[in-house]
Amino acid sequence: MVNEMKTLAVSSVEKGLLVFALFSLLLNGVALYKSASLTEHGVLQERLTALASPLKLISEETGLCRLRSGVSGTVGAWLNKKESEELR
Amino acid sequence: MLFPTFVFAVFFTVVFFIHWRTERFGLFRKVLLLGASLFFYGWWSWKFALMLLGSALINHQMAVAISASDDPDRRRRLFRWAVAANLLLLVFFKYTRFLFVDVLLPLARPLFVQAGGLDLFADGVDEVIPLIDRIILPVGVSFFTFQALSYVADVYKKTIPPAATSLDFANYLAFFPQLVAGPIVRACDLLPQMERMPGRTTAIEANRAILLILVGLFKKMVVANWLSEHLADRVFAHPEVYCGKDVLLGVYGYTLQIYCDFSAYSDIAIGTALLLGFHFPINFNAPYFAVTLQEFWRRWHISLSSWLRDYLYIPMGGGRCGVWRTRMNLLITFLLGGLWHGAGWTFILWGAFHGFYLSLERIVRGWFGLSEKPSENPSLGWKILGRIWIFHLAAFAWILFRSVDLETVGHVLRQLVVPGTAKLFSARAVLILTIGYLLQYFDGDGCRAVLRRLGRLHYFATAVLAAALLAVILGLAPDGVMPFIYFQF
Repeated sequence: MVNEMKTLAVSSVEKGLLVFALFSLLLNGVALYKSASLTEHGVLQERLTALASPLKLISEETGLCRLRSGVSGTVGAWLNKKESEELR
Repeated sequence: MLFPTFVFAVFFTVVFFIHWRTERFGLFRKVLLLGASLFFYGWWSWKFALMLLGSALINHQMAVAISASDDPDRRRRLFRWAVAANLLLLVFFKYTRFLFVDVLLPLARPLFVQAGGLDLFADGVDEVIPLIDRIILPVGVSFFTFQALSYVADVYKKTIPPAATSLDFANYLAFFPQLVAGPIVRACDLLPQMERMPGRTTAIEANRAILLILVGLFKKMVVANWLSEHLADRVFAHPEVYCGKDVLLGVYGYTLQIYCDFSAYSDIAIGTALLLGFHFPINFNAPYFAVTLQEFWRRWHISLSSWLRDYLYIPMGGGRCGVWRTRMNLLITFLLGGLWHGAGWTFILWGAFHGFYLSLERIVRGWFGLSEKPSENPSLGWKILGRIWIFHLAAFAWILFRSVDLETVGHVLRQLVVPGTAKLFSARAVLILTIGYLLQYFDGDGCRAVLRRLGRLHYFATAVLAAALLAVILGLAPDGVMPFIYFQF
């Protein structure tokens, strides 16, 4: 279905959101796994890492994680580097 | 629950599908939406979620009683009770400490000293302050209280009928996209949508919604957070260690940070509501492109400035009661507007500054016979000068707003003229400040203009592109999630 630019039928938005969610999970699979492993040790951490590990695997295998890691490692790193100047 | 988090993304996806898949179950759907809003709010505190529900029920019952009565005295009495109840809630949670510590104590101390009861005074203070410190400010209380007040006032003025049911009103008041930091959506705009509830035949402005959400995330996660961490927070935390150039950079940083932070929340709120089929009016329209302060207030936090105009300035007489009364009305409106933002003298001064300058602007405009809409003036040079002037004027006022106390205001102003080598100046700072300023082009109809240029896209392509852009934004953003500035109001 082609978007009429201004508006979209609910069914198309539903499908679009599912596609968006799926791709977002795959593009950010490695980062999600990293976040999950950084949560406090315990059952929650185990469950979150168990949920995120297949995402991480697919993300790495397909190479989709490279978009975020590429941006993060280049422009993101430059943007967010700490200045040598610190408060005295 | 914060917008730019994974938890919110999961929450919203679940709510989105339940909302659109339960169209046939009208009442159930409304209950579900209210449940989702209360869950969203209850993520912070269930007690406050119940308080919000209580506020909704009381306000609706008061509105129904006002509407049902033909007796003007009874209507007025009920209206005053409703206003008092809402203000009491706001004052108790937001202003108790300010009223006690900053107003009452300085007034009472000399009296106790005169009566020789300084020890008694000190003991009393020691006992009361810990009690006051136990009062926790519910997130977004200023926003939902103002929504409730406007609803009761509109019913009293017979502008709108009361909501069909308490459930509809509760959904209006507690609707999660705008619950904690606005926009302050009027009942006449949102209540009919809540009563009707969008159906599956609704045509959604999905592309606009997605663009608004992505722009909002970029504004908040990349620009506002960077400006906060690298410029504004540093300068305002220790202004005395920075030279004038750095302080100026910090002030510019905060000027654009607050815009990117707050308008980001509004963008995401409008976008998420649109995906659920609800329409909110815009809340920002390129405020730093204004060429007068009056125009700035027509572009900045539009839902609050129009609220203050319609429920405070105009009922006080507005501009219809002579020159001096108009100036006084402006000043009072902005003093209270400042106080709405926070319980402190810095906020009151910020409001007073705006009120005073707006009065001055009117006088000058009268002298030179200038138009009410100066941005329509064809002179480009005048426009540029006006924009630079208003940007700096707003930036100066933000010093009052951002400083934790009057002492910090003094420090910042003093340091502004201190010479020295800039430590915070960098290519990154210039880049982010420029991007922050240019992001204003997305305000108002800017998003629609961008979409028109993008042309037609298949929903699948839109979804993949949006996911890729989200990954880029997340890649650019620093680690961690910072709360929105307006959460504290």
